Amino acid sequence: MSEKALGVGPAQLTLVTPVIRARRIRLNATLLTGLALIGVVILVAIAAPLLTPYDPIEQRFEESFLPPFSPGHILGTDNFGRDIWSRIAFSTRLDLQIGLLSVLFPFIFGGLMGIATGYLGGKLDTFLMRIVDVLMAFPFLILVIAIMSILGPGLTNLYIAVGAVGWIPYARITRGETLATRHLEYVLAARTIGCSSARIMIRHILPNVIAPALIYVFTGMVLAILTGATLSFLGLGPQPPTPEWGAMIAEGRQYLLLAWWMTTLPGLALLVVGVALSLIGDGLAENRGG
Amino acid sequence: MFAGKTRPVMWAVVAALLVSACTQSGTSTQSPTPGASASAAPQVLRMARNAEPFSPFVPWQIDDNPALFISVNVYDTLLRTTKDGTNVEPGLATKWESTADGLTWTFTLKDGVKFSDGSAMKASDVKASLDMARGGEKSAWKDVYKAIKDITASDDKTVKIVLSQPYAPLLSVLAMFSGGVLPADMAKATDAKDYDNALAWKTKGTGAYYSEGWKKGDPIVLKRNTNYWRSTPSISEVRIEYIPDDNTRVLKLQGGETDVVDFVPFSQIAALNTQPNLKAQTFSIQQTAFIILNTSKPPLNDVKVRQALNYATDKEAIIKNVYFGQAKVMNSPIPQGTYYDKNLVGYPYDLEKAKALMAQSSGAAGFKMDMQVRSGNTNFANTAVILKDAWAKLGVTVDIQTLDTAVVRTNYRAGDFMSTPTAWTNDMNDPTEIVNYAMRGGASPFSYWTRYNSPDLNDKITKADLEQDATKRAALYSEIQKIYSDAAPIASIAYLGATAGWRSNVEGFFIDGLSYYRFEDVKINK
Amino acid sequence: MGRAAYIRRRLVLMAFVLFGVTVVIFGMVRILPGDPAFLILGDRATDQKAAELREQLGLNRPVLEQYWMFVSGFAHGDMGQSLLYRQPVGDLVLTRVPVTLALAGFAMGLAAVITLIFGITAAVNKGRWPDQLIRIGFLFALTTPNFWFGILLILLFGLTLHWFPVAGFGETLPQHIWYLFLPALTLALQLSAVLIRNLRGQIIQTLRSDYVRTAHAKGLSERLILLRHVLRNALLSTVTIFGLQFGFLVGGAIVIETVFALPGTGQLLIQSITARDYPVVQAITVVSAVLVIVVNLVVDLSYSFLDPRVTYE
Repeated sequence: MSEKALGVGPAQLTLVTPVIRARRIRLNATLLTGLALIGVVILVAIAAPLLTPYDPIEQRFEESFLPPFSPGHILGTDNFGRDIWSRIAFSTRLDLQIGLLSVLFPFIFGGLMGIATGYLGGKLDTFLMRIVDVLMAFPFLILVIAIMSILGPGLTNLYIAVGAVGWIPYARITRGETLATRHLEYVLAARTIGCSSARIMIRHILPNVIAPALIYVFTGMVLAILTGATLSFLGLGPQPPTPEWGAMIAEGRQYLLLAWWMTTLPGLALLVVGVALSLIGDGLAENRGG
Repeated sequence: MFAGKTRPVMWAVVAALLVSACTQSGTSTQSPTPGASASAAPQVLRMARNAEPFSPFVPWQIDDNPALFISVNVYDTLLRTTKDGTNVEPGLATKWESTADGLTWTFTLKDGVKFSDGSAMKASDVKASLDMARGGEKSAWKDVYKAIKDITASDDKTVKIVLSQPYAPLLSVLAMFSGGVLPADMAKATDAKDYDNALAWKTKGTGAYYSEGWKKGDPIVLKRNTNYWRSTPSISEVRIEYIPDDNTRVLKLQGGETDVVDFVPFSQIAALNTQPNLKAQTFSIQQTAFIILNTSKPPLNDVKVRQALNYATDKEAIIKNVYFGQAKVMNSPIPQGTYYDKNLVGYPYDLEKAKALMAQSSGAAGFKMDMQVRSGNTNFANTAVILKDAWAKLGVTVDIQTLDTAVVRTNYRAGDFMSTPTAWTNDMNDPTEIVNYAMRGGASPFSYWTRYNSPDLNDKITKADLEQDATKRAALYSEIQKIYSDAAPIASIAYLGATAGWRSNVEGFFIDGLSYYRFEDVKINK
Repeated sequence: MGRAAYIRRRLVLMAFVLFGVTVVIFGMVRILPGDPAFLILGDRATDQKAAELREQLGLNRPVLEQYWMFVSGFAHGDMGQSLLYRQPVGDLVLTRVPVTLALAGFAMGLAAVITLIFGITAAVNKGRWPDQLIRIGFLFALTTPNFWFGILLILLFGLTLHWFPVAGFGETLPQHIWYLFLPALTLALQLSAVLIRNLRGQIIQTLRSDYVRTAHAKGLSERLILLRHVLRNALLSTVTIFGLQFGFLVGGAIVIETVFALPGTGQLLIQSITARDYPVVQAITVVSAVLVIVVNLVVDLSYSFLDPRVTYE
């Protein structure tokens, strides 16, 4: 490449960078379905007080363990006679928040870290990968439980605990991809023409390695909500009687043989969000390489 | 390459696993309960329990239920608690008498009692064991024996116990599991600093069963003691598995993989009884469930506030929704055992009265109160959820905090809590344990961490221990219950039972008043 | 750098990582709130008795000295005494490690098979009904809490069909395998859900790449292209995730071991954290850390088999 080529800049370079074209997001059926579903969920979250006939923590002992489709309680009631639909609707707010916040920061931090270490290599790579190795050497849930036990139960601490470990998969994925990409022609070409490392990483590597990590984001959100559920199950999540799907599933567990709906229905709510997020992930994946 | 080479191997592994799985399932479902066929064949009772023992398996070192439930099947005591848990009956001692001053007690041992290895049990073994229980370096129960000054074995059949002062609960204390009798040399050996606690699981007792050793994680195997001094037990071997999950334990019972399970969730008792081959039951034991109120934290230092909380506690609702009707309303601070006062009024649910009391109190403006719940206990958590709702009607904002037991216990001691749900179970058939431990103030554990301290009450507690006359003792204990109840350092909830479920061919499984069960009277019918 | 030199260097690094692990875990268990002495002695213990116990357990020695005792003991194969059970930690932990390993290994094996079958099927049938069915089916497995899913499997295969036992571990080797099947399947289905999504995406992406088009143009058979060109590339990131999931499996085993009553480390670990049984927590985490490190080394090495573009530096 000549000096001139340098002046032309990224516009021309995109031509030799095959995957970058895919950055334009096109709506396909999968993505649309996913977005529509999540839209409904978000709507429920916003309009929860309008959509629900009862206070989600109101106890009515005379109405406990009503099965779904009972008069006045479309999804039935729990052991305290609380309306399950009201609880599910209100906890939508909390669970979307858990899914989003516990993935957002780990994704940004982990993704960038993986690209930087994968591309730059050397001491930085060694150092950060050792930190990753140390953290990775602990079973995920154990580390989260240990951190929660130290910080105490509660939502903010949940984000910190999940985030402290949650960035690692993204770092590993983008690093692995970067290792495989860094020797590809267009990267070498960019280096030859004198692009700075930072520029190469952001303009050329990032778009190519981000997709697998992005697919994992939507899985990660579902896993984060499930981790929240497990922590609720261990008494480390939001404190009762706060409605939260994970906590509801955990609470209903002791009545599994008596009132299946107490665990199944919040489980289905989780499923809907899981399906929606996964469809979005798939839709984005289909977009790749258009 | 990965796919090409590995897949057939994987398939082979999976196929092998599936084949072995299927053959296994075939053989096992066909094999009937061992012992159900031939009459002479050994009978094995399979039990699934919710927890594993963790204390060293030496009677006076035991401080956890799973260990002591096994202890009563392996080690005998001088006296036994009756099945209903309200009296004592002969155990290793056939008779006993005391001098008029109540200071010297003479026990005559039963003839021909042997340890599981066939050696004879002598008075010197009883002395050595009780000496370890009351004075051993590692004993967890020294306090209950502190009235004993001296123990002598005057001959092989006679044990003499001399007290430093009259001690009314003595016989009940001697019926406690902590006084289990081991051979003298073994009893002494267990107290050595470098004693290997694993050795204690190779037991030598006079009880109906013995163990040849146990490692944590394995099932506990109890073998019938053919030298047992009562009738030889019908079950030749008991295998106790550890299944911590409540649902799983019940499912194993339903699947026919075990014969008896303990701690059946209250919600499942009724459902299990509708199944043709199963039975489930709640047994009455001496247990109370209540909320500890920290009387050193304002406004809980105001007796009116505490009484208001008591009146605002809908005990029936908690019993119905948390314990599924398998509990009784608690009217007195002590369990329904000896000297329990059934006429005490307590705090019947009365919201109006509660509101009136609260209005006159220092908490009238409403206040915030933490309620620390030990994680993993769903009954306590559910109780807290109901109380949060109920006490909100008095203007009290309950902040439920689920914490690890270790944290809760540390907070108890530091006084760093306002309220917490808990339960108490009597270990002996005499109220001396609960009144001394859970009601006496002034010193640790500060009236079970309530920080309540009434010199008048402390005085009466001491008097009741010394009182030899049963009627006068009963009167003293009634007063004690009344004083404590009126002061309300706890919010009373319910008397709980112990639950168990079993296959209907199991006969005679029974949890006694102190929550023990013995396998010696259990049978398996065809 | 050659593979042998690379492995040597990794082993040296492993020592550093292990050092890091011991520091992190030692530090974490020490700042856990709550005093183990009161837990061991129960509510009835006096403060004096608790102080004596702390002395006896060495809990009031300087932190650095405690750390040194822990590390040097470990180096000599002595994991210390359990605070709760008052017996050697080695005895408690080592019998349980194989159970958890067997569960995790079994689950990974099942997951590999399930992933390959369904991942490839979904990718080649992209957008058609088998793809949709697999997608929805495994979404269910992914978004279902495993304790609930485990109980459903018990109800179906244990109680109703009697194909597998309800719970427990059995006593002979064939029994162990038989007892482990349902718990391993529970974990494997959840793990496969993650892996299938990834593998499917990767295969579809690779199928579109230039060299696959070239291979098509050359007239190579569909099957050959799939096996030789597509899978090999597609598996790269899937294997990364696969390796990453080992830690996830050991964590997931906690809940699964409880539901299926398996005497593994997960159950003991959670109990020991709750009981503040420091030596047991330290022993289990260090032992599982060694396992995870080894598994990850193997994963890193497998890159070079799967993708010749990767060199070791």
